[in-house]
Amino acid sequence: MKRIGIDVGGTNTDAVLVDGTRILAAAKTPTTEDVTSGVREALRLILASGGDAARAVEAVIIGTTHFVNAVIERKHLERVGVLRLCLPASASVRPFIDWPADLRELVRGEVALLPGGHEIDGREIAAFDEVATRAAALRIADAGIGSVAISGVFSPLRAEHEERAAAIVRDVLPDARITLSRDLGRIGLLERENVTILNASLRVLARRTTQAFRTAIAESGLTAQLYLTQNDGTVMSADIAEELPVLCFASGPTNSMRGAAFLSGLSDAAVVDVGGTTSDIGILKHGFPREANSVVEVGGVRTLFRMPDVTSIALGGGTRVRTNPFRLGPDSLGFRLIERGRVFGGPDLSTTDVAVARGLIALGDPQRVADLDKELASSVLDEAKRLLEEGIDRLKTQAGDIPLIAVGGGSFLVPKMMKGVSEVVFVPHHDVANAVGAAIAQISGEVDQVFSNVSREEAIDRATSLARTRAEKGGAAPATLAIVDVEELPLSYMPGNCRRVRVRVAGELA
Amino acid sequence: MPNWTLTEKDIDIVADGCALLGSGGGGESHSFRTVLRSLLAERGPVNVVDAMTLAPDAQAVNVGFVGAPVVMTEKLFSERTVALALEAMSRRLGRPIEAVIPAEIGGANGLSAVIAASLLGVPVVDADGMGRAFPLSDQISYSIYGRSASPTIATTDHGEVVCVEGSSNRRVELLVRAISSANGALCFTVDYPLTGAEVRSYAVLGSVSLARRIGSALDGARHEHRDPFAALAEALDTAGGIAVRSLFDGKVIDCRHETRGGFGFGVVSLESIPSGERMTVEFQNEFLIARRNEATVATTPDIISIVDAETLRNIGSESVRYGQRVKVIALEAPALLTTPAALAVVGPRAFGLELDYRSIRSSL
Repeated sequence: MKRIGIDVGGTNTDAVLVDGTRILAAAKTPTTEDVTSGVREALRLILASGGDAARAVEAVIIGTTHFVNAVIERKHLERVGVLRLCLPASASVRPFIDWPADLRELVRGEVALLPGGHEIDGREIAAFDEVATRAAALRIADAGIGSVAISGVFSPLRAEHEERAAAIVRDVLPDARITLSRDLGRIGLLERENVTILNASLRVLARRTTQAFRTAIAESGLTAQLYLTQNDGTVMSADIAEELPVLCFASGPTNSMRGAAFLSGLSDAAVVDVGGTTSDIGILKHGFPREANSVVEVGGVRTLFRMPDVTSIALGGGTRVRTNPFRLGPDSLGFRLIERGRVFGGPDLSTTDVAVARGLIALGDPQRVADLDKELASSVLDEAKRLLEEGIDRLKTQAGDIPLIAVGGGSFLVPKMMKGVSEVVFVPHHDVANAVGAAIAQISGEVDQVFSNVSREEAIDRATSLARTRAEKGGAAPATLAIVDVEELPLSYMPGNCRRVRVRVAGELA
Repeated sequence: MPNWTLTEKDIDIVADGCALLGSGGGGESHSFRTVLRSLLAERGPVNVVDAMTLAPDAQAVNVGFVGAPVVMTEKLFSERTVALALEAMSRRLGRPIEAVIPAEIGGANGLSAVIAASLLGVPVVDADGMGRAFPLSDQISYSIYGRSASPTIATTDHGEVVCVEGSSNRRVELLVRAISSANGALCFTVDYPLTGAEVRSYAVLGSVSLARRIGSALDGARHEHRDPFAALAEALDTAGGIAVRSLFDGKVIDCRHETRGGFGFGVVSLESIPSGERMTVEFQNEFLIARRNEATVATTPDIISIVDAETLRNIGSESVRYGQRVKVIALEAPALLTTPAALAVVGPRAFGLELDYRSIRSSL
């Protein structure tokens, strides 16, 4: 199936046209402030070089850091009304309690703690209170808030109270944008609630953005379906992205790693994406990025997102080179490389200049660096090699050398032989690896839930079945679904056979 | 140890130290840290007092949550539950409570005592009942040395107060656990009322300061990019010649869990990097025994911890995952826990392991 993958990065918007396993066309254009103009331009370029094949695409898959940036930059966020079904539990740990003050100021609207929620064995903590919940919903409506986040204790296990609360909110406020915590998985009330609130604050931006993407596609004359990529390297339909924008947060690094896997044919390797300012290093396991173990903070807010375990080092195409004493970075010329870099006639020395002097890449005017001190050039490349080797070593969890796939516009800085690395693999289209990752992304479904009084096998079966249903709902072809991850954890101190099961399945777009 | 005041800036450091002392158990403390931050901001710092400064007849009580760590991450925390228990105990004793002691310094319960102290406006004693964490509430030094758990007050978020009294501490633990289960596997307890003199004789002394010292050493090392293990070893040596050993450096290759009798039993398997050596660590919530290439290198009551290989951040038994790159380390148990009387309750045989305690001091 022909697809276009688009990655909206910090500097550039990259696009590729893919047919099965073949890359038919690629394009790169600067990212625009409004995001969509850049996307429209990227589509125009792809259509221009891709011709009929491009016009026949059935899917356009977009990876963007737009939503996570909104949180980090405190822009385009909505005020949120929060309902938590929990009393008498959790009373001293209120919503927003651990948020950075500036973000809390922007986002916190009405907050209500209400009777309800469930125990780990499925019993109610307290009966659902229609009257109190309705009163809280009315306060939210009176405050002029249109986005509501609803969470309940142990809702990944039993979500009835969240659903009843949602029905009441809809009754009071028919146009309310409601986010339920049970749709965002994960045991851990505060972190789950944080994610639910972040999601609620992004609903308007998500709608605007996906509408604009749809328009850009339609205006390009395409009748393709729109998908967005999410944290785990899989996609979701634009309809779901509109409702659950938080799932798109980690797209960037994930897409570049998946693209690297595709372009190299390797599914277990280290990946380094060398950009203008930083290099991101990650590890691929079965074709997907290995995930970080610890709690992830987004814009200072504590979440339990599955994010790729990526280490960033200060080494890129624009990294400053200083002498007397010798120092590599950590700062970079960034987008000013083209004005200030030596090979472009400017005064500043960067890694790009060294690479041109050494013949590693042809850029700008090589005469301007012809007299570059040879020892300096060696020092720069040796230091770059050392930084990369160290970064890779930090991430490795197995003994022995592993292959390293080098992608990104600055990958000319990656040496051909490195310690801890069995081989360095350079690939075609390395500079649009992100867009490739978006183009080839799969559809996934995930379940993370506690099961009581069933056997381990039964629990995993039920979770798998639920995950498959979610994946199909997200647009996956049932026949292509495969389990990507199974995790099972019996719960200590619990009566009976209690276990927490997390299953993720992924498959091709239907 | 000198008395000191615990302020907001100490919270993460003390909590990190408590996590390491949890020996793989004790649960996640984020919500407790957050509540304590608010309480200290509202009410000012908490005094941490050396047991020696307590009047011999001062009234102290032991405090802690009894239940499943995972439930704590969902039901979080209600001040009222703690306040109710303290109030009920004071009524039952017929006198005000003058100080609180953590039942176990390991894990989140280390902080729950500081929260209790803040709510009551009394000091927390620089001591605890276990020097670490253990699965059963009567695996505590006061019980080992003959003190009674009674009266035990257990409270729930619903505002219920239950007083349990009995002559067998083991049976009191059984009944309290039933209350906890009926409440969804979580309740707060105040028990083992002790006089100042009894605290001095029967508690593990200096625990809160030790937690701070550990947390501070690790925090400093991380910020200054020094070796955290070396910083930890130095801090423990200065704290009182507490031995610490790095037992293994490698990655997790398997983690088996099994629920039996309401506890999580299991085994973590590890492989060294570069490969060639294997380690297994068995647990019952808390890590109990570590074997390297089949030879025993550490057992309970020594404190066995699995930590991130680089940062030494603690990884609890419920958080161990395939592929994690870790160190297995062990801290020497307090002397109070290694007497024959203590070993009968907290040594390997008390957990069904057919071997005797071997101190990590005898390890290379």
